[in-house]
Amino acid sequence: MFINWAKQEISVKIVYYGPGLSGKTTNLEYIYSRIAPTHRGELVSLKTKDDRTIFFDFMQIELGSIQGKRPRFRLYTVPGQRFYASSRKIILSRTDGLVFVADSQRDRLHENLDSLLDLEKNLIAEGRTLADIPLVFQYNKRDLPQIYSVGFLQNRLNFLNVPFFEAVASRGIGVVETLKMIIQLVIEDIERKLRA
Amino acid sequence: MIPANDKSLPKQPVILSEEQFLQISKLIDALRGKLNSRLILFGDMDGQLIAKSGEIPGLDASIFSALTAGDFSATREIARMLGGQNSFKLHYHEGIQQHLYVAAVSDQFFVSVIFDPSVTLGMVRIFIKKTLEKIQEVIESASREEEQVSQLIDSEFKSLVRDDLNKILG
Repeated sequence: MFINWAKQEISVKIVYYGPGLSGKTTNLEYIYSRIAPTHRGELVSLKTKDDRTIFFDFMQIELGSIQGKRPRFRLYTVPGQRFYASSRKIILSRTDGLVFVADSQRDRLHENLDSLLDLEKNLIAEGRTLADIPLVFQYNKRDLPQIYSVGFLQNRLNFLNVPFFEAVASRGIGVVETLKMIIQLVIEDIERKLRA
Repeated sequence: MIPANDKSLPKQPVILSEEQFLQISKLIDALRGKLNSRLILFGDMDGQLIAKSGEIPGLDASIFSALTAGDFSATREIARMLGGQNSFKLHYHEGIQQHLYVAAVSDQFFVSVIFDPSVTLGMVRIFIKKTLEKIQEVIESASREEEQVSQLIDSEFKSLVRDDLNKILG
């Protein structure tokens, strides 16, 4: 989090984490399409020739003046593919909130688990844990045929029992709800930290 | 790029007081005048744009800052791969129409200067070095507003943010 007292800006960083092809970039693309340009910056995507995220996607949401303050939310995705471990670690640094975008398909369970372990490992390296950071789960691709039930995924992935949403990010289903929830959790967390 | 001592990033919120912001803004304005630079950005290593001087039409300074921070982060990993715990203190990119010089301030912030090829690199280095020293002093000076920070967010603020998000996201 960054506070610029002169401009009364409160800027927070939210990172979308998860395995490759789980729909992190799709989440940001939908959010970008839903918000008027007056309230958001451009969506920048650093992609490979195959359209896979190589470093990160980034966009900023700017709210109007609220009690004289100007909240800004910087949204990042991490590259999901296994070999971009360094990029993930870098982008995760000093994040204020996390959305874990899980792929609901049965043959992707191990990738989800690997990504979750990778996330926790990177947080520990930074002196934090999953329990310290506002977190929301999004079970994506609910429209595909070979998927696990939400109950099963909850049992295997959401061991901290944080809020979760079912989603079909390609159609925008569950995307906005996920974003609103993580922002709410982040603001509550900041309030707690500032009062501490 | 010059290696610098690597320090772990602080986990506490970064708070810049009004006085600090104004002083830094003045310093980068002065630097831009000396170097006849088109644009100077001051941001944090987390990608947050803090202050800017000048304008380049069509250039989104927020994205520029996020990419610059990413650049520093990526080269920090390269520095680690080269051995030791070092990171790089400055980056220089030479273009045809304009050059880019980015320097780290205390491993937490950066100053990014876009300048014309007619300005010599030596001059850029000297003026940036002096400005960085002054910015460092400003950053290290105590923030008077810290005591008021606990009052920054209250339940009404949270509810107003929720309302505003509902408006822009539907």
